[in-house]
Amino acid sequence: MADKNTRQYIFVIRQLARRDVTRGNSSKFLGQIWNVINPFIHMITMVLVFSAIFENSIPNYRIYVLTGTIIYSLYNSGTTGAMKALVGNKRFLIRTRIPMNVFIIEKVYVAFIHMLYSLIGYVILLIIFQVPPNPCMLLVIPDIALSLVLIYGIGKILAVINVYFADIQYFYRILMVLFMYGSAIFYSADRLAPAVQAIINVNPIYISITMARNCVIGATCPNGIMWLTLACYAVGFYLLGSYVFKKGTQDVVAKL
Amino acid sequence: MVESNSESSGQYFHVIRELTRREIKRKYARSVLGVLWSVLNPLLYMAVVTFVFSFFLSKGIENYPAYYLTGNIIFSLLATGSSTAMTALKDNRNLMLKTKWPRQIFVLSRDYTALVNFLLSCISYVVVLIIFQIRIEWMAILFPIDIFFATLFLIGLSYALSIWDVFMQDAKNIYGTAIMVIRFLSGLFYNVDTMAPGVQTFISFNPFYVFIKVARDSVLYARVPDMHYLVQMILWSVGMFIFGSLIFRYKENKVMEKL
Repeated sequence: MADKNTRQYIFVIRQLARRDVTRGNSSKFLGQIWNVINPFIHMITMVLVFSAIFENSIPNYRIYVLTGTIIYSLYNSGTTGAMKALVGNKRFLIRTRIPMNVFIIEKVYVAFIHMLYSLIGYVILLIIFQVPPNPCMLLVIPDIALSLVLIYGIGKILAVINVYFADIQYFYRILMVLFMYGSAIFYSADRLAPAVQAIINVNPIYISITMARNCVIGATCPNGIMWLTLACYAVGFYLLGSYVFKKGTQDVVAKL
Repeated sequence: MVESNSESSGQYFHVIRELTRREIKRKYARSVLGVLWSVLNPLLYMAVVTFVFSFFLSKGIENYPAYYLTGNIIFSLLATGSSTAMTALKDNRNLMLKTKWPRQIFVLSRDYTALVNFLLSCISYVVVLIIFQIRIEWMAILFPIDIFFATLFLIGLSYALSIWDVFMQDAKNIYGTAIMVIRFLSGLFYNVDTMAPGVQTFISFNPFYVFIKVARDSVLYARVPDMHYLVQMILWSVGMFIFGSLIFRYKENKVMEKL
């Protein structure tokens, strides 16, 4: 019985995802491709502007930046999408009895699919810039998995807040711009002042980017502290998100 | 004739103000901080960026926080103004069908909102200038002139974008990414002189940077900006205004069919 339900929900998620990808705000073709190529456009811009400063001190600067932009994009589009999951699916929420977290999962799933497509371009660039393959690269998978759990938890909280306080969209956009500066996407964190380094070391986006860079460019296993911090974030936000979601969605249909 | 013309333009100005009031109310509808946020927002950006880049990128820049803030408030005026004005025609579809107001009004009201926000952020700008003890010389007269041309540029750009948005579904996405690219190519938070020469040349022809550069030179560093920038300031704004107005006038009727 439970199994049948799960399969049903997976079906719903995939249908909703198809709708999001093909309709949305844009035409069929560009709508699909836009989120996929965005990290590459960001990478090209950042490399163009900053290569004169960082190219000598950061090995494989292009891949370094691209790793950052792809993971930042995952966080940005995953959480921003999830934030609009309840408000945007008003009609479904009122008319159907699909559990509400299905709508959150669907948004995170769409962001994840876009990232997978971006990864195709990423691998091609790894080959072009001759980054040798190594077994540590596989550790990117648990890194991304933890990130997805974290995004899911944050997304749940944002979705609930968005129902009661629509301005959150505006504030969250500003917050994400600040995170773009503060996640060492286009610079190396050792250049920062010690106080700033202490803070950036607890920024989860920075941690998952750094871990991925260690695996891919450095060919080393990221250290235990980073794994532990990211895991704590993921579990913590998962629990907090579930709690907030449970409390917040009780009278959500009435509010919508 | 002249009299009735001025009367109707007075009336339209009233409409613009009412639309603007509605925009501002809607934007901050449920926000506790309200309009105060417009004043604080640039300071928040300034604090974070100054904090992050205190050891590098800020090297060789005198009064880095004020340098960043000058760029940030002008960039916000242009970026927020143009991207909100872009959807003005689509968003006000119903009002446009019901009334006979000139279509420009809907675009202008978004730009006006951005300008009001800019003036509010100037309050924090003045405070920062005082804190950093920046002496204002007579060259600072260029600042309001610069803002005038920036606004003219913004209006032209908004006209063009709002038409584009009606005719192309992906316009909003594309412009969103373009704004992000321009953010990095406007010399907001780094010293342009340390960039590769090709990039420097490119940035020096970016209109966003031109307006920022003129403001920085005249207010922060009390010097008359290079002719290269003064000429570009005028050419970009007048050129963009004419370009946008022509496109708008030419396509206006087709817009109504399309909507």
